[in-house]
Amino acid sequence: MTTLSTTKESETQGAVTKGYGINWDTAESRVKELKDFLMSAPQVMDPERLQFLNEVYDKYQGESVVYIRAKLFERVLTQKKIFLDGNPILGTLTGVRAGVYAYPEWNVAWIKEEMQMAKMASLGEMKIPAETQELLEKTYKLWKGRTCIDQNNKLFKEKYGINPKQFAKAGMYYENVSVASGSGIADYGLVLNKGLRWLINDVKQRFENCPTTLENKEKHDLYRSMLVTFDAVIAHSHRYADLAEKTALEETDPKAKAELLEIAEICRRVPEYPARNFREAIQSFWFIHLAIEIEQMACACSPGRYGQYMYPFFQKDIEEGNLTREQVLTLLKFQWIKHLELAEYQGNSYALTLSGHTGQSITIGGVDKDGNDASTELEELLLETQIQMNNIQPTLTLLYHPKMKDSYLKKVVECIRGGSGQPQILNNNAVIQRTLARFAQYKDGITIEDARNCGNYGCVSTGVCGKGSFITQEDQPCIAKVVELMLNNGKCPVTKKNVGIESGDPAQFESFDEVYEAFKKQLNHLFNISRKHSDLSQMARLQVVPSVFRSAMYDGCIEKGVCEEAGGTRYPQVNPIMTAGIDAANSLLAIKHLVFDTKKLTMQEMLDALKSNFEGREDIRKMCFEAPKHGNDQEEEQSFVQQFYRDMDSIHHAQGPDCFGYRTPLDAYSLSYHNYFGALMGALPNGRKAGVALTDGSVSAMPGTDHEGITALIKSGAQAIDTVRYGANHFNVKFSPSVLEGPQGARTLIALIKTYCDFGGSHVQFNCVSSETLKDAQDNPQDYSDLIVRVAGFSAYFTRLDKGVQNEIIKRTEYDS
Amino acid sequence: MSQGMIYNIQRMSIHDGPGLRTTVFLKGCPLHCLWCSNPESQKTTPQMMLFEDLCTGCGTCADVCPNGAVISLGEKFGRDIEKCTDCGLCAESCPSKAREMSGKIMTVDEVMDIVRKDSLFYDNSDGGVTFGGGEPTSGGEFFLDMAQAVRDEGYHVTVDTCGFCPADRFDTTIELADLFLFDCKHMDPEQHKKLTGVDNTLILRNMHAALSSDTEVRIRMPLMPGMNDSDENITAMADFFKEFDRNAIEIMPCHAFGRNKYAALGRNYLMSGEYTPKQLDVVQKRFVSHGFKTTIV
Repeated sequence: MTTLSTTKESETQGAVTKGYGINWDTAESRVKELKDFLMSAPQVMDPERLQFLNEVYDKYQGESVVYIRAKLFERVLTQKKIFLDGNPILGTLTGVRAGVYAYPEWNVAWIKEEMQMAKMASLGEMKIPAETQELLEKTYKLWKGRTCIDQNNKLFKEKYGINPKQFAKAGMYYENVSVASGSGIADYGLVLNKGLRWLINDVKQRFENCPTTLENKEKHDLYRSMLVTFDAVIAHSHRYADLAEKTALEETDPKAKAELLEIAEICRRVPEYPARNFREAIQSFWFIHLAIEIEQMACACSPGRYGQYMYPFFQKDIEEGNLTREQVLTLLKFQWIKHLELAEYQGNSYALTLSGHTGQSITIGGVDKDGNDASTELEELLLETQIQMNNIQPTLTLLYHPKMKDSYLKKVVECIRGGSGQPQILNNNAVIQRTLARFAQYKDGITIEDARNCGNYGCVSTGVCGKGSFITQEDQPCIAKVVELMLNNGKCPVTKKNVGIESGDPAQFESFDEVYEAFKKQLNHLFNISRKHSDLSQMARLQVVPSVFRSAMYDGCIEKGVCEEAGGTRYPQVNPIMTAGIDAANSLLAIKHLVFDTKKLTMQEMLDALKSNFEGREDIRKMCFEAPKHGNDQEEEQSFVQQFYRDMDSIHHAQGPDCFGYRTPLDAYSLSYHNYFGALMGALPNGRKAGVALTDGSVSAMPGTDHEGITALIKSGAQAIDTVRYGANHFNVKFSPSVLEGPQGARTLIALIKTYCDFGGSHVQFNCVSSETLKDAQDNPQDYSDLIVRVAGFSAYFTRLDKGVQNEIIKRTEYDS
Repeated sequence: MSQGMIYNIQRMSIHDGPGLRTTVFLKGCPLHCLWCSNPESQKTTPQMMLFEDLCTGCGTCADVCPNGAVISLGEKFGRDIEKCTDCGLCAESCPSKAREMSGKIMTVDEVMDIVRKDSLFYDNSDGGVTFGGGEPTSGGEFFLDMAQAVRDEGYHVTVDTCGFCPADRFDTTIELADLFLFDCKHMDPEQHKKLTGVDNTLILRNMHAALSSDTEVRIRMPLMPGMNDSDENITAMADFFKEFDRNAIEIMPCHAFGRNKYAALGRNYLMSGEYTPKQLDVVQKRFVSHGFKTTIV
């Protein structure tokens, strides 16, 4: 707040009558009310979309799928219930407050399986009203066998003669089209600056000029469908204009009335026409973002470099005295509420793998097209917003580079200290190198300006803002499972099915090389299966749920007349996310060390211990757990982990080009898949017992096995993966806020970030924890081995401290906060 | 090549001097302060530390002990401190890390191999290497060789010292160090001896030498209720440091975080009581009234 308060007084005096029509007297209390409501009220599954879905699919039977999708989108936007809730930024996901829609087009299996189970969404408990329940049951019957994932599995069975469900059931991969996923960072700036009316004219012209030949059929369908969606988005904003006008008539308080009338004026104008100021821009942005999410509530539709495309509007209003920085901050808080309202639920396994994460990442920092520091004052306000709101959505991602201003980085540190783990850090130089390398193989290559305009979407991945969308690929294979299959000669010990390939009886292996070769053989098999399955999933996605409005929001789709799922964007990419690499690497290291190097165990003893989940063999589990592990900056382990990830990359590429025809880097990160897959797996040679969560991230240390401190962990983490060859890495570190206290604490963190990036790391997230977390760490030390706290003049791993000392630190943390 | 006894090398120390540092802890100390929070640092020989909380009662230690020093405590195993020779066989075999050896002989090169690993962290944070203890200068040639080696690499050298060190060795140390974290425990020789086992004549001589040199000195004081926080002692400090125009002092209020280590060594912890915030405030005001600026570290 310090940077803001210096400017506050002088500016509010000059601009008090300006500030647009918003009733600033009540604004902050409205923010609080809205947030409190979201945090306390259970989410409700609103039935209206199910109703629309069934009606539209019935009415437009026989139409092309993109057209039906457009009509469904139109039906939702023009007929959903709308309401005012005190937020001057309008537009909610559903017709009720804290509402969630179901998206059965992807998957309905969960409806049947979970109707009676406790429900969970991103904000906790969820209510499914009786009306929704009835509609869900009806929808289940209508969609069973026709959903995206059903289609995917059907195609696989037809083409390869095997039922692929056994692979997913064994925990080899997660069926990626069983939920809506994909997208990236749309071109928000286009609508802000040109308006939808401009796009309508553009698409109309292209539609008219498009020769009516059979080969242009899909183009035709896409254009006419896009036009439906543009009108729908405009109609949606006009509905809010009408509602605000009507409400204003009954409003007696002059300030509230003025606000409503202004809202009506703004909604009448944007997003149809260009925004003229920050107030209009924020509303236009939200209508577009919301429309994208309503079309497909997919994880990873991210606003991208908001602080860049919104900056000219911000700058103008500040310069002209139309808004103060304080008022901008309040508006941003209202926007933060809107992001937090968005939620999704697509079944319990979805909740397990994604923890309700909606992936709305705002990217800050980075460089401009000439490579200079691009960070803006507006971005510092985004950090301040997060400091004050402490939200789980949107998330902030900093594109770190060495040219960043010290004052800006200090604001970043202040935000991280707040405890929400935000912003997460991405190494901008690694991102640019990776982007150049990735798109160099594309027909038209890539410009350096575009490579410098990357942003983060979803969790830790990156893409070109406004010009590149992504779809998930490879079904998120679980690499730890490969070790399990190798140790069982291809048979899954959990489902007892031969889902792997015969890679040899492990008890007969005479050297570690044979073990490693068998592992690679199994890995090749997994990638082969998951590639076949996911290539077909892209066909299923195109066939069942192509996006129309979202496609129009990316550069390239309109020009080519191709939707984004079919590679319409300028830089289409697939993201093959792989999980639990470190569990596999550590397991292989343990086998090498215990069975072959030191010969402390025979392979048979190891296999027997794993089979019994170390029952009665705690001594073997300890040996396994204490065997050499990733994360300790030891040369031998480090070079093995690097080799392991290099080999994985090669084996992945050996599967051939992706569905767009390009060589795709693997994305190494976990989301919450480490929980999901962990629950499906038996014991591992790294000392992990059956059913326990796997290691999070992709270069984090297995909990409890890094003992050389944070610098060692950072060096190991940064260098484990070639972050240019890979699409992402993923690394988490936990601190108690006291470690980062004061100017020296800030310097410490900045030095850690810089050094991590110097070593080539791509992603790191520093989490500052609360006293509640410390208490949890005391009870569950195995989950918090990387948690660092300040003791007295020194810092230490929390879980290794004497209980009395731990209690002392818990007390102190409570006191601090 | 010289070698010596190290009991810990702490990477990413952030409170032992500027920036990110590696702190090398030498084992052995000529002082035995009543409040010492690292009691394992006092003896120059390796010691077995037994953390009973972690003992799972598996009994492996009893099987390997050649001296019959492992004794059964019902569900756990303890030790007969008279019979234990600190040979370390039990620690080697203990699967739950309840028994750990403190102290091992290392060469300068072995220490430097670890120190060099974090050079980029030092560069990026204006950090470096800190020698702590025990009393690091007690390491003699080994200590001086290490300090020289660190200096030769161009890293910043901090020495965390109690100041009890032969004058010639200390003067060499002054040449090698960029910064001293210099403890000032008590001004009165008799009291100093009572609290730490030695009188402070040599310490004040070295403090004098350090403060007269170009090496930066941060004065640190472990603050113990009723032991060294009297107005009388603070007045004496003010008189001493006035000559050097020094009024900044880092205070380290008494804490009991080392308590469990005494138990692990089979020793009794003699300190009792910590400051309440109010009491600490009173003591801090005492410093202020004598013109000191205090920082709590």
